[in-house]
Amino acid sequence: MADLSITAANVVAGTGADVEWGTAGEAITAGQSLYKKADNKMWKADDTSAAEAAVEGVALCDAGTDQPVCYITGGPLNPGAIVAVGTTYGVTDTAGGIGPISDRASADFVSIIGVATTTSNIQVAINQAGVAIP
Amino acid sequence: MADLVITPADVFALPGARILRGIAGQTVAAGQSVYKKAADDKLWLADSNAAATADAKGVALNSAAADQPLTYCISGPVDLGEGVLTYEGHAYSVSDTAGGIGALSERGDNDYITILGYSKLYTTPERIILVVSVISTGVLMTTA
Repeated sequence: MADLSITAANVVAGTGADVEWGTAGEAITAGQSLYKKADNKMWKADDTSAAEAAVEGVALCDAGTDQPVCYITGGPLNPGAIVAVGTTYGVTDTAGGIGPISDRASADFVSIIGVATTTSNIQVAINQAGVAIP
Repeated sequence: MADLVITPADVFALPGARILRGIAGQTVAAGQSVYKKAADDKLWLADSNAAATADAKGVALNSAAADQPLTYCISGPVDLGEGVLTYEGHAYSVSDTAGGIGALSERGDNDYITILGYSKLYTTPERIILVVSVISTGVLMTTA
């Protein structure tokens, strides 16, 4: 299964979501997974290294480099894409991508973003496992 | 003179800027003027065509679609990008285009006047920036 095909304009946090603000280290669009780099800025997460897989949340707005970016760290998220109920989603090989954990393969660092509870909702519950699949 | 041509990715708040956060009521790009709609308390694109929509609160600092989070500068220095502003000491206002920023001198009959700020030379980066200092007059301009 491929990464979610996200329509950035449809990404919205649900009621009760936990959100935080940071500064974008690169251009980011709503719906992309983010991690915090050593420069303390938010960058697009991927599963190719432990550092980049340490996802902090999912962007809720667009931002250029050094602009403010809001991201969800927990709770309900309409990811702007159709998701499969009961499927666990995480970071992928693609910078900022979100895809099913079941698609991860050898050498991928596993970080869980959340579980789909409806076709338009991921209940975000971040888990940075910090381990690569053998 | 037309509205300022702003590249959203080039818009940055500079040290000393005062920033607030809200929720966008419609698609907003960094560098657009925004007002807060009383009906929903969300941020919408400001224009000079009505007293309510001209009541700008500041300049957007990131881009957002409807119901997404938005930050905006309510006062202080904002870099709108290299070459966007060319001279110091000019006043800029909400224009008659939704979200637009234009020279105050360009406003005319039937424009509600809201000053967004003035242009000033900044040192790092060395360029003319906008010092946001919103004055929402609520006054309709008449010239005759």
